[in-house]
Amino acid sequence: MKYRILFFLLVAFGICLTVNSADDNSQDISDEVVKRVDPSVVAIQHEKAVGSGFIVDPEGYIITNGHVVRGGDPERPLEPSKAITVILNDERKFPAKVLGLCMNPDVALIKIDVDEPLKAVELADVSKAQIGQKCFAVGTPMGLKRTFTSGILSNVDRTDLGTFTRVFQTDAAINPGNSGGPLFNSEGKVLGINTYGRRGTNNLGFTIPSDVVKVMRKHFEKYGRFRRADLPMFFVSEIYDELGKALQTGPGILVTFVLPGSPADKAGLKTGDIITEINGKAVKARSKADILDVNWRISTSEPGEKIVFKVQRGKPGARQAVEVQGVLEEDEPQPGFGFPSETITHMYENLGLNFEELSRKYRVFLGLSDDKGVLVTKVLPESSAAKAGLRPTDIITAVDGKKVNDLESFRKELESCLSKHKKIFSLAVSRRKLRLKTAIAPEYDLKGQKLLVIAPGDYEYLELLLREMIADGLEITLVGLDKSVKPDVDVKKLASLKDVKAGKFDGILLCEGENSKKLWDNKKILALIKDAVKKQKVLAGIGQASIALIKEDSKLREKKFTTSKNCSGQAIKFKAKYTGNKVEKDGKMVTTTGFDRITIRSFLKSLKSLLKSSAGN
Amino acid sequence: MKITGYTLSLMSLLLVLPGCSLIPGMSNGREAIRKIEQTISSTGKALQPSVVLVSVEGGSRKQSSKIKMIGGKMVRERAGASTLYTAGIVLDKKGHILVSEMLNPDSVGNIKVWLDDEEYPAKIIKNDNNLKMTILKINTNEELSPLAFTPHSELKPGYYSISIEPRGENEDFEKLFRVNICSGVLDGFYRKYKNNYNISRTKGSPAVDLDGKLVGIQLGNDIIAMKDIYPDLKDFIKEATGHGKNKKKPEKKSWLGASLYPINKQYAILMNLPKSGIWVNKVYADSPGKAAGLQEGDLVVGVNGRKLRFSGSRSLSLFNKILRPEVKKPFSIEVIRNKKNLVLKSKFTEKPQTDTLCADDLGITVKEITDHDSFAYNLFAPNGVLVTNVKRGSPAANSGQMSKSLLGRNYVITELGGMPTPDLESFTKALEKIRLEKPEVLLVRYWRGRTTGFAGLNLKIGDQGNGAE
Repeated sequence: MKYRILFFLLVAFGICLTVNSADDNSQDISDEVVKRVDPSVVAIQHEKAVGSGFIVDPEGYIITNGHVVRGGDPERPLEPSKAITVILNDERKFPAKVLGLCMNPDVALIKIDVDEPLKAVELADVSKAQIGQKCFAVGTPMGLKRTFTSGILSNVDRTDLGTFTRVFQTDAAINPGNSGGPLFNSEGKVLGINTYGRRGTNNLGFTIPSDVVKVMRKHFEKYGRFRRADLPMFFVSEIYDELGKALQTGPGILVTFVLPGSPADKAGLKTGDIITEINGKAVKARSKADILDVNWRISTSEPGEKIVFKVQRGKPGARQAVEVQGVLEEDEPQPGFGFPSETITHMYENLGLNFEELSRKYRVFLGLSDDKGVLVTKVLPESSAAKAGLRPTDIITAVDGKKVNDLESFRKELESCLSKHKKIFSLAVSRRKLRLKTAIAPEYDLKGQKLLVIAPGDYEYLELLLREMIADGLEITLVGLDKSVKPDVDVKKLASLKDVKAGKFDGILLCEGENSKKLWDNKKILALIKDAVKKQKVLAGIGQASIALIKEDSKLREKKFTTSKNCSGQAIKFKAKYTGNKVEKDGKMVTTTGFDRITIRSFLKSLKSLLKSSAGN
Repeated sequence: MKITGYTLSLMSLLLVLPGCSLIPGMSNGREAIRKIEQTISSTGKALQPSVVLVSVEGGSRKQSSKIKMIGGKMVRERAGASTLYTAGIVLDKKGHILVSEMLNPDSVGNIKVWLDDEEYPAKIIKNDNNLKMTILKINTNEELSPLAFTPHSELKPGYYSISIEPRGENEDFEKLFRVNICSGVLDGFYRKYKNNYNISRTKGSPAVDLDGKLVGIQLGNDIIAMKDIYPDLKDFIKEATGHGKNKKKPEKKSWLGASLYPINKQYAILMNLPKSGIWVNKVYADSPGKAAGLQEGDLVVGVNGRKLRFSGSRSLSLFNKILRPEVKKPFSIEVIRNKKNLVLKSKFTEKPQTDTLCADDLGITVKEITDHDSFAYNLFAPNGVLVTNVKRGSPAANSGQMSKSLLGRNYVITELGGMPTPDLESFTKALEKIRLEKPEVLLVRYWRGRTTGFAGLNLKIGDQGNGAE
């Protein structure tokens, strides 16, 4: 009896196993689809982020999110990272070049050079996308290798995320690292680019529809960026049911605001107009999604093109058709409201002040006055700017009693005060309806110290270096060894090293530049370095130029050292203590790879602390 | 387990004492503990029945709002509101309760007062924007123990105070004694005693010193000084409860009518101006400041014959403290104008009261725009009426989109149903017409910051549906 029960149980268990294994075979995504799409999805890595992407062209063109490949430098917001690596599904790795990136829509096009054609994805017809249809995401979330997650399209016209286009919503798990990866339909065609996952929520992922990809790719290949077209500056609203009834109007789009003096105003658009046609095509909007579609059509037109609106104008019941013509312009960079900003931030770290050009968008969105000046965007706590009482969204309208109408004049007046080491100088500030007078007292930590800067050629970060060092109070002598060295900064400039002696300076900085390798064999420079070592001066080097520091001096070779990656062989050849770090400080020497602006800023901090600590010695 | 407040208070004492500061008149910690025990067991326990728990639905609004772009417009996301718990002080046997919160009937939900295990619905009787306090009323047959506000005393840095934290029925203990050390005194219109640690749950509860005398009311991490607040608090309570034998008419509010901003210290040094100076940024029309001849750009250096001291916000506090506007009271302000010192004199007048109108059927409260509103709220609209509140669930609130209403605070309405509304009178007329005609939908034109907009309100929705068909 016992065995009979056991036999019965075994048979039953076997049946269960059979049933279970039958279930295992009923995949949501078929093997064929998995095998087909898998080679088209890539992982993307660089010094600051990881993400995903997908191949759109066998020649190595890959689509991903803008935020996956951007460098994260607020001073150059649309510059990509410098060392992007693409990892294919067979683990092959390739350096990638960014052909274009945009933050809204959050899309980038990158390219890798391959010997053999890659497997590209097929884009789905998103106009047929429907709520409830099955979909799956592929990517490398949280640094995990190849991950498939599945779900349905939860919404196909999400409009409340502040994007320029409608976006899809899915419950397929989208996690950090999925960004830039594809969302496929059940046939393995790309519905969109997985972009946002909302933290603290369950299964709320957002995907940029793939029709956007086609347009963006064209722009990136043609211009290297997304050239958004616009007729600035008018706002529109959808005509929802109640608004339509209240306005007593048929379908169309309502103009809610026209900025006086703007191109839209000059073209003749008026608040209250109901747009019924754009360029001969009937338009209407009952929802936000409809508005986004019309906006997208305008945005993706060519700047310089004519735009013709047919509007209904007048009081309800007595409206008349009017034609309005304007010319599209390239849209201003988008301020960072909820998205990474496209606008360029300018910084003076020593003052604790970040500022930006005052754009039309800032004035309207932040409710700023019409005063001219520059916009304060960040004030560091306890800094000179904070002690002056400056706040974000202040407009600085005058420096030291002189009006500053724009970025250029602001910089000029500010740097004039800084280079004269003015202990304190006045600022005029416009804060909403307040007009304030205040004063800033820079700290000039390095006042009285002298730095010799040797620039072998034009260098992209030279102005940044000089500006920040002037703000620190350093007295700078710049020796440009090439005519291309023409920084627009108020410092003492010399054309040659004749009569230059190390003893007159507290430190020497060798800059990167086109001809920086020439520094390695320049006898005058090598002698200056030897002399500087002897006199215990601070020595600093950027990128390739750093090699000159360690070439002949055995003492400096004992110090930890770094240089640009392509010169690491030289460093090893000279038996230097090469570390490969971005910035290396040891004793009285500081060197950097000069990799990017953020590295240069960190190098500046090290150089500053070295000069400061050696001040009394 | 039922933990008594007394046990906990001793536990908190043990935590406090190792790092305690000066205890006046007491030579050691043991003596301090004894004194605190005495205060708790005598005055503290006597105080207990006068402190009640008050819950306010929708009274707590998280400040974590952030700006984002929605549909090309910048929107400040509003975090959700939750129930606020605060302490209330029993003012009389009729059921008047004082809470240290500015409660507005338009923006909060149900209010309950907890007497032991019983809860009582409360209604708002009056609030005061200067005191940031509200008086509630409950109906109860229970014997209430009002708090006596006199005699009162002051705290000094290093002095102890004891306050009571009321708790709800879900808590194991009912009322908890808190022991605080005054770590400093913050100057201002009403001085505040800084506590040594944050005790925000006790907001609104009375604080007594170790002699059992009332020293102030807890406001989170501070205790507002009873000595400073008492005159205004007394008047406020009288107005709200009708107490007092010599029932005076409520005092008319006065004002200077100027926007002031302390001079930046560095700028004062640079320009050789007094560091305690206060800039006049704006002088409002028909104000005593205007009558005195105060001008934008003047630097105030003295008031009522006294020179200003300190710098920054302390100087401004001192100015306010000395000025204390009262109707018909003369005042003098010394300013520096064009490098010359001038003394400007005038008398305070009554602060003009702006009319507000609650348009319940639309779900908004509006007011006439004053010079001050235009300046303070950075309004760009040339005229119109200012929206001060939007009622949840009303036609004005329902946009069909979460956390976004069709109209919002600080919108300026310039047209209602095609009728211009440059002022409250015209708005009222337009509203009357709408109420008579009962349209199904209503077109509203407005300004929001620098931009203009339109809203179509569905008047059939909301609890005040106008019966339109």
